Formats: sequence, structure tokens, C-alpha cells
Amino acid sequence: MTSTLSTTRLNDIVSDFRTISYTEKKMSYEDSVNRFLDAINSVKKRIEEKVFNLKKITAQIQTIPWFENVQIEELIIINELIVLSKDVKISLSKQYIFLNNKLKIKGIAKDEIKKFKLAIDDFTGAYENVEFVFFELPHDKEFNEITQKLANL
Amino acid sequence: MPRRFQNRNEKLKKKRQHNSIEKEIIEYFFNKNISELTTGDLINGSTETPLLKKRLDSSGGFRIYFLVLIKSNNLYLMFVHRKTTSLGLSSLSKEEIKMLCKKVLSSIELGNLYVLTVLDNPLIFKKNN
Repeated sequence: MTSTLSTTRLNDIVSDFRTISYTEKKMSYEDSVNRFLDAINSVKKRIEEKVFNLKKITAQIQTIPWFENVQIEELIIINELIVLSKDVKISLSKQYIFLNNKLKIKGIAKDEIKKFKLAIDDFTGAYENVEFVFFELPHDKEFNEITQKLANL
Repeated sequence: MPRRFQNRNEKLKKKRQHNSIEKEIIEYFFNKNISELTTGDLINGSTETPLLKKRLDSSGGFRIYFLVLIKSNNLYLMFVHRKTTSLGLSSLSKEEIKMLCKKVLSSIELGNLYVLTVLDNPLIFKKNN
């Protein structure tokens, strides 16, 4: 008799728990997935912002080689800009390596990280080209001769 | 455009992951005025004869080198590559760019060029007479 009572009470308790267990497990699973997805979306958004800003400064840097009659004071500023750009590149590369190793290889934010890499490459190409145009090209007689011949066509 | 560009275009086109090349060239270069086209990295520092490197802003990641002769309103496609994959290059060296300029100069002087037109999407390479 005691045993039957215990069994009934236990079954009641289990019945209550069954519902709670299911609801909590389901909720906590959904919650954690949602939190995870929110975190991924947040990372994607931050990478997209970085790409947007990088494209903006790259476009600005790309206008510099179009400047004509650049004076020595301006060359000093341009040189400073190149040094700063190299510094930025180091920080960006570290960020890319981190994102690549932690997320991209797991298939997370792959497209965004790929675009981030392309944006870093474009930024690097832009300031390296500025350095070439203002600090190497003036001494490259052969290159200047070819350009002059093309201009005379 | 020199023959070298045509060869390169044909090579890239054969690779499945590169077959968007023609579409991207058409979208970027056709129906634009000169000022819209003179964007990218100005390599030779010349505003009269700008030699430019441009990444076509699409998934293909193609880098294209081209020369614009402003006074004659002509644009010469010189070289195209992709940054990654088997036919990809990181970037052309300055020596390679110089060689390319020499080739283009010689091709223009000898008239050894191909004129590019678009006919229902594919690019048509026609020998310049």
C-alpha cells in the first residue's frame, strides 16, 4: 500500500517535471542558438563596417597619385600617410588572421571575411602605389621614358 | 588591346571559377565616360596617359591593368589576373608592368591591336586594320 502511494506520488512529480524539463530544455536550446546567431550577425555587421571604412580610405588614398606639382612639404605629409598606412595594415592583418583562424575555417562569416581580405589587399595596393609614384618613379628613368612615348602618340 | 590580353582572357574564361570575366569586363568598361573609368591605382603618375590597376568590384576578384590616352580618347586593356586560384597572381611587379608598357607601346605603334566590341554579351575580339 505504501509502495503504491509512493509510486503514485512519484509519477505525479515526474509528470510535472516532464513538462518543465521539456519546456526548459527546448527554451534553453532555442535561446542559446538565438544568442549564437545574434553573435554571428553582430560579427558580420562589424566586419562589413570595417570593409566599408577601408573602401572609403582606399578610394581617398587612390586620389593622391593624381595630384600634380607636389611640393616637398606635401611629400612629407604623403610619407607620413604611408607610414601610418603600414601601421594600420599590420593591425588589420592581425585581425584578419584571427577571424580566419577562429571563424572562417569553421564556415562562419566566410563571405564577409573574404571581402575583408580583399579590402585589406586593395588598401595595401593603394598606399604601396602612392609610395611607388612619389618616391620610386621619379628615379625610374626607363619607366618615365615609356610614359613619355605613350603621351607623344 | 594587345594580343596578350586576348590570350589571357581566353585562358581565364576556360576555368569554371573564372568564367564571369567577360561579364565583368563588359559591366565595368562599356557605356562609361573617361572620368568614370579613371579610378583605381594610378601607377605611372601621369594624368595625361594614366596607367591604371583596378579590382573589378565583384566576386571574381579580377585585377585589370589598362592604359588611357586621354587626348585620343582611347582605352587599352593590358592585362588581367585574379588574386587567388591556379591562374591567380598576387600582383604584377614594377618590372613586369614596365615590360607590359613596352609591349603596349610597340603594339600601338605597329597597329597590332584588337578592337573590343560587345555582341549579345560575349566579347568580340577583332583585329584592328
